[in-house]
Amino acid sequence: MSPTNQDRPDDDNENGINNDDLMLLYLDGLADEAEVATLSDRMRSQPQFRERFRLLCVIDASLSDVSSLELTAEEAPPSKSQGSAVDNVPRPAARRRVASLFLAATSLTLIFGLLFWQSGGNSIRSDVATPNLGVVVASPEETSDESVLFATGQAVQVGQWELTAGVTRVRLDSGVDLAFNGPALFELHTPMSGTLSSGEVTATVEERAIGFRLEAAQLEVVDLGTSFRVRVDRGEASVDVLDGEVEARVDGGNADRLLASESLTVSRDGRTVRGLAKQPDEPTESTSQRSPYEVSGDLRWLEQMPSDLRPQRFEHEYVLAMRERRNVDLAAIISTHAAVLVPQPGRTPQADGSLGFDRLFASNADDAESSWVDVVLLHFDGFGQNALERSDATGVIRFDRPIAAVIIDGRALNATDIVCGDPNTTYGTKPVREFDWDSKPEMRDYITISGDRRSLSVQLKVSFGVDQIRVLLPSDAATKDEFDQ
Amino acid sequence: MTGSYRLPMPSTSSPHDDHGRFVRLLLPAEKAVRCYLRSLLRSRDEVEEVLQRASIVAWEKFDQLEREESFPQWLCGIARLEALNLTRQAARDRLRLAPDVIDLLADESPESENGALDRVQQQADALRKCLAELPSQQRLLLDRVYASGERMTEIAAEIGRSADALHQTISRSRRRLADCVSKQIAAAEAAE
Repeated sequence: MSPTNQDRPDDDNENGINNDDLMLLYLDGLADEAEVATLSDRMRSQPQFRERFRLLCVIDASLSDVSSLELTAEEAPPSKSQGSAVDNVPRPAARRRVASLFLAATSLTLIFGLLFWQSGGNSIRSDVATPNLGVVVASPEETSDESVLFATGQAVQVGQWELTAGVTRVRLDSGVDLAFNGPALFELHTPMSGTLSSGEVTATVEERAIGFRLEAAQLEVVDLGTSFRVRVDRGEASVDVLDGEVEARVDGGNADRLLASESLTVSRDGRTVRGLAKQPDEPTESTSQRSPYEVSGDLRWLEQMPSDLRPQRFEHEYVLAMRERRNVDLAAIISTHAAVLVPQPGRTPQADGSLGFDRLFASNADDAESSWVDVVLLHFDGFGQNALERSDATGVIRFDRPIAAVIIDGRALNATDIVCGDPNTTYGTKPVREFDWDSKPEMRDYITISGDRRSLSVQLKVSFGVDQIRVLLPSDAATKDEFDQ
Repeated sequence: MTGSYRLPMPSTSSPHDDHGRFVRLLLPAEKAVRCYLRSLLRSRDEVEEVLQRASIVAWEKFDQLEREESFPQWLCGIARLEALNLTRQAARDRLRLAPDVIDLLADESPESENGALDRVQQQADALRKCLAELPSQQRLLLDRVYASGERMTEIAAEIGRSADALHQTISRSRRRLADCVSKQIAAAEAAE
């Protein structure tokens, strides 16, 4: 890449300043009044001058956008083994492990760097230090020993970070908080991007740092204002969105938006699975703690509705229960002519293949225990994409009031989406979401209603479709009165 | 059961969806608009300020956007008005380009010229390749000056050099980059 004048406007050296210098002085805010006036005159009269100025503006503005400075693997400068000049620059190492060999190597690098600087062999020399981009705010080893890298209070720079077991928190000046659950191997490229090679990191991103990018194996996550956790383990990468939303891309493909509570896992062979994010303060084994209802077995309560409940979009090993909507007019549900069923205690389908439920018709809607209902959806989409990959789950959910009705038929689920469904959720419309009571016994689903009609037990099996059950519960009287006014 | 409550019907696009859609359109567009604004405004701080204002106006008027494909040009138009407002308020600033020159640059905007925004994007893409060819130390220095947010005089003091010397060094790198980008674009056009 050699400098050329071929594309420059007339390189006039009036006052000892050529055109490029004049423009760059202006862009750096260093031009005086006379120089700005000269620049304006030339700009006014020469279109090619304006064109060159615009190009320098593109360069200046793009360089300000820190992410543009990051290079891809193909674009990266020669590695150390190829002996690039930057090897002589004493860069602050960001490795936690302080082995004597490493210290010796660092010392040698510093000595050679200093000698190189004193020789004046390079016009920029080693005084180009890597800037501090943040600070360690929590470390597993609280110490004032400055030789221990990643101790609390130490500054961090671009480079590779090797973190030992425990939680290390780093706050970047750009507005990103990184909490590593070590051991972890991470490389910070710029204040707005990094790569996690192994381990786990939770990023909490302030609004000013929206666009922060984290790469992990084949997965690339771009923050859209959020908190998210990324894990890499033996080539498998995953992202859990804890708050807000992110844009996820696999192998440079199309971007996919993930919302809070959603996760995406990319296996070593590139297979992707969308699912439910594990909350950091809510281990999988105790997810029932936040549930308004008692859940057990393979059943989990989900606090927020996912954005997409079509088959294979929200796969999980558990049956997920979630509140779809509150205070829905039961008459509106029945008016869809859907098969709304009033369950009877006992297991269904029964031995004779019948459901044993009464159908609730519009004409007898007033007989229901409440005319206003809350809707809870049970959703099961086990991992697997074909009939050979079948998933089973068994669990119980106990409500604080008797179940008013259930909707289990695929067409009835479709018909009631508009009344009962969450407007921000996409539902599958094909008949692959129903409770199978009339299929072969080995594929049959079962539900059991307790004598007090407060508990619902499920035994579900899915392959390429999903199983969904809408449970209608009487709304709170206070809420009903409020809406009746 | 026949109270006045009306069932909230599902809307086709919720505010949440709109926000996500807006952010998805904004992120790639603002790079090109930032480049355009740089030619009209005196400092990088002003560029960020105007870009932020333009983004807020764009969000407020987002429902008026007719086609998503035209979002970059639309945002550019809003940014242009915001930038001209600012420069007119500071018309007496002698360290700023003359108002008629700013108008000239603004009128030759990517918004008004078909394909110009693409050209800005091409230049930004070419810049990435050119950065890769830049010696690592020069790239590190650019990184320091642009990414740290520090003033050039502060950085110069930290590394024990004069602001003028640092400016000269940085300018050499930027000239090399500009020449490289011009060559890349010319080569791409010749190949077409």
